[in-house]
Amino acid sequence: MTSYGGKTARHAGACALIDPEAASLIRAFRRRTPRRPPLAAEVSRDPMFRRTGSSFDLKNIREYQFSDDPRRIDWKLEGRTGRLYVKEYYDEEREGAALLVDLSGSLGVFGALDARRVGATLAYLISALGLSVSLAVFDTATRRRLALRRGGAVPSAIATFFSDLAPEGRTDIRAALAEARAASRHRRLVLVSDFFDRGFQPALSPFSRNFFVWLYRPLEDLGPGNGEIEVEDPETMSRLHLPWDEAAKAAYRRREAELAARFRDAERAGAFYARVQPETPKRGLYWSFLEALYA
Amino acid sequence: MPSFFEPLLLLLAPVAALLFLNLRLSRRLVYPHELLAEEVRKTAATMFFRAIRAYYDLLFDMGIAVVAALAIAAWAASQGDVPPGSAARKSNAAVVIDCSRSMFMGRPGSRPLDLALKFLSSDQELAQAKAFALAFDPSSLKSRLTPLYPIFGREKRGHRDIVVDNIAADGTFADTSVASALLRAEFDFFAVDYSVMDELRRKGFDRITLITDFFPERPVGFEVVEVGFADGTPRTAEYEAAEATTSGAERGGFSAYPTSIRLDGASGTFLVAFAESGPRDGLEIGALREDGTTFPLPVERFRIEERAVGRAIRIASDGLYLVRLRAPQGEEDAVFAFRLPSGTIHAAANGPFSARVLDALPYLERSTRPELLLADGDLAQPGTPAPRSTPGGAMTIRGATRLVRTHIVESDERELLSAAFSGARLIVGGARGGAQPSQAPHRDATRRGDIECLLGPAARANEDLALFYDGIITSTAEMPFATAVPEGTRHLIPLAPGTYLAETPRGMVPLNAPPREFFVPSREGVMRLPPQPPGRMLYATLLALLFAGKLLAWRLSSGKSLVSR
Repeated sequence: MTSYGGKTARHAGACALIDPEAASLIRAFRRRTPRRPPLAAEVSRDPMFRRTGSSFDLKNIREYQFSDDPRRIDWKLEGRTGRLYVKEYYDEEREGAALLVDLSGSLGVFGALDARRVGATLAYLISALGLSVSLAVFDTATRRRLALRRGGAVPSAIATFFSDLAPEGRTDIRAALAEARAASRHRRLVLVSDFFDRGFQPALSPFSRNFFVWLYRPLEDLGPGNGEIEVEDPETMSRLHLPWDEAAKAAYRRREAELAARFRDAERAGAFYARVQPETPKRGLYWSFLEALYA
Repeated sequence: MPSFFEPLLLLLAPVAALLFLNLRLSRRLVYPHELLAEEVRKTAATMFFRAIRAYYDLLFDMGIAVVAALAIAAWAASQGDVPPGSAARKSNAAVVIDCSRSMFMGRPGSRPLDLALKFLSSDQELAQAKAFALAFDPSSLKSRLTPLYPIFGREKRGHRDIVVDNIAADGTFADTSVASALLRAEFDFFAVDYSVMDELRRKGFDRITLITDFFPERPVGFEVVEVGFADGTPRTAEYEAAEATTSGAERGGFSAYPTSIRLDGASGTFLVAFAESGPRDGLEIGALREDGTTFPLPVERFRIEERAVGRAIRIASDGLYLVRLRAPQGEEDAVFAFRLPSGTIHAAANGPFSARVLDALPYLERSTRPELLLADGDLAQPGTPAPRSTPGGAMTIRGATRLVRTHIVESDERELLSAAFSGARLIVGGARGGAQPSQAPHRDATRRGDIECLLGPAARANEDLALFYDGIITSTAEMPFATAVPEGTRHLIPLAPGTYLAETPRGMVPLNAPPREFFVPSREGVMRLPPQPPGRMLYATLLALLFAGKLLAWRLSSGKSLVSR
């Protein structure tokens, strides 16, 4: 029986969007990586187990020790008590990730179900690792948003989030990124899109750590043949009539390579980049994503 | 004759095949355009209706097929003869009045020109036709078509009105004299070249009607209305129906033409014989100066002989003469100019063989300003220029000097001289061909009128070799007068209607209208006017626009530049 985050599969029907292999992937990843978080901290909802950091969320007040930073001494308390105390705060919640899933009209080419499944599975993987996830679906703007707090995956919530979303509208990745940046303090960005947006440049992402998942379906998969093709853009509904000859194929491949080169440049700059095609096993994608997440 | 639909179906067949293939091979896909056309969103592809856009190329092809079919149909229609009386006659028709010398023969009022003008004014089918006069232009030395309206319109009236009014005044032909006089004053009535009517075709006239007295050829591609030669030859049925009141007898029939001009060896005088028809009147003969002026010839210098077929004149000396045969009943006088050649030819010889030839022919007289040069040639260089001097002394070679060059060869190989050297004259008597034309390095050696003879042993042994030279020398002699504008004519001095003195490099050459302008020629041959060219510019423009639209549509649809395909 498949279990999600240690729970039974009573919600399995509702969570069909999440890849069935996701749970086993998480388990395998925990066993494999030495950097996995402690199980107790992972599953506990006790704030005491949260890491100490520099947020404004007060965690504890204790007496000053020599190893403490003198700048953290609370001088007001010293004035009232005559003893040195320091305040401890919870760590900032920047360890999570902003997961943006493109569900504009062009994702229908890749396959709406496949796109939602990738997005849902990635959301599950991140949250299953105990990280908070700011999940959003966008086209020209954010269509829906869901905040998954750290501390464990909620497959049913993820599945419900994606359940009735269909590809529509045009793509504006830059606007979605700007909106996500304003709404989230995460330093990680996981962007799932077909990237059919001329205005988007991977290098211009406002997040410090970027994960780009390119949902790509080549035109050849649609069987254009060797004659004339009439191509309708799913977002603009404009039609293009052109001979699908060698020149057109070469131009298509050249533009495809140009787009891939932009992601490879971002990859060299530290970003994660993966290109996936529809109806193909995604296990490799998810595993490499998990490794990159903790790299 | 293919109609519009036959070529259209043929031209649409490949379009239909393309449509079928397009339907078979084309695909409709849903895919973002980002990787297909970078600028597609900036283009005006939406200018096409959605359903049409996919097949715009075939729509353009169909349009091109339609235009091409129209062009083919127009071309095919232009190749055929348009039957008389068809609608085209009124649509874009031209009528041409023949203003040749023969149209001015006969008595005033019944001359072919008068009859032609009357027919022009009375024929309703030609009412809308644009009228032209076909006449000889002495300034350009060519026949020329001139619109009639500007000529008749000098009285601020249309030419048709003048003619009709004058005819309506008293119902006689004499009233066409106004128009005839205008034409007489405007044009030189000489022989005309009917082929210049091609120009009307090029100008878009699909129906051309020539009104003449007699057309010696079978017309193809145009119509001819014959009003009858001045001596009463039959006319076309069309004209007979329109005009049945005149006959050849009423129109006179006076005509004359020189039939023989030669030196009568027995009497030592020149004989000029004429063929004449109709009643005869006076005959005047005058000596003609080089400037075209005449002076009376003393009566003792000539004698007129009455003969059955025409008069003959015996003239004592050579020179230029002008003979006027007066018309007895008001017709145009028949005037002819001619040159009586001298009995001797001033010649020079270069080379021993040529010198012997010069001595053998009695009418050749040695001169330092020869008009004939006999020269021995070098077979190794058959095209060398004519010699400039003789062993006997200096001589002047003029442009008019004819050259007879003789090459002595050692074998009889061929009987005929190369046509390129002989001017296509058949030379017999043992001559044989020499070098090929491409081997002739100098133009002077092959100039017109020059002859090169190659004599082998058989030719030199021929007792009649002198006759051979006599033949070729006399055959190259100048004719007494020309009947067409001589080559190289710089200027024409008019002497009388249809008679000129042509200034040429060889001197002044008398020029008379050819015999067909005075006597009915035999009818033979075919004259074909080329079909009216279809409106190429219109079809070419339409096709260019369609192809440009096709390229533009492709560019708009594909977003590519025109040079990237």
